Amino acid sequence: MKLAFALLLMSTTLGAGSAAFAAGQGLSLFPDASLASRPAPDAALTLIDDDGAEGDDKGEGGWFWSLSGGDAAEDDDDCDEGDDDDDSAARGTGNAAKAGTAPPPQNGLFTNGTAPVVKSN
Amino acid sequence: MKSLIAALALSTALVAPGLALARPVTLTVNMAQYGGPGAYLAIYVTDASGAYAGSLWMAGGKSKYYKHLTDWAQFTGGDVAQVDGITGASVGSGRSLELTMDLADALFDAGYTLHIDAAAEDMRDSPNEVAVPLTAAGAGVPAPGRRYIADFTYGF
Repeated sequence: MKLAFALLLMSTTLGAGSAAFAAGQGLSLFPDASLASRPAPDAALTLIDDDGAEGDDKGEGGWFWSLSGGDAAEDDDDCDEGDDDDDSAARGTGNAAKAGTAPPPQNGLFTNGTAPVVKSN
Repeated sequence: MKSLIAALALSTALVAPGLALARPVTLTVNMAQYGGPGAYLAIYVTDASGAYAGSLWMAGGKSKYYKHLTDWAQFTGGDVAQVDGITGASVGSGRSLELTMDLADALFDAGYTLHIDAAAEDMRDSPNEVAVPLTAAGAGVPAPGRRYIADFTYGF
């Protein structure tokens, strides 16, 4: 009796396992079918890789940006040139008018209406 | 004849005050051999109390660099209008700049001081590189600079 029970139990276990295995095999076939309708895996990987690269670039850009910002703080010339360009454009101030293109300032130092004459070698 | 004399007297009376108030002055800046790019120079005047009186010349066209003329920038707040119409090119190493301008007579022997700030790209700023009192006796006497300017002279 015990032997018959053990055999029954073993066969039940094996049957259930094979059924589960068969079901698993069957499930695994569905994704294969759906993958066939999707874009090629290589292309998707390439896109993912590109996305990652963009992310890396942004990260490096930010890092370099902050680094250059630090350098700029030490070197006023390099950093502030760009800033001033932007600021000047924003403010619309620009550069000073050259001699000969505008009258000298009325600051009381010059005779009214006379422009300096400049020579440079 | 009387009308001619009257006209001559009138024209003399009108012109004479102008001549008395202005005098042609030549400013000469000889640059040192500092071995860098063209220097920016701000030439300006302070009064007897040390207050900013006005600018005479700005050598260098890009206003974004004016902040490196630190004393001038501090006096003026970097106001570009201070040098509108009196701005020219920067002055290279070893070169000279000669300016002739009609300056008010009141600037001389009245406690005014002429200052020159200098700066060159990627080199140290040099505020108050030259400071000379404006006097009749000081005309023609070269004043040495400290970094970029070999000497500065003004004459009538």
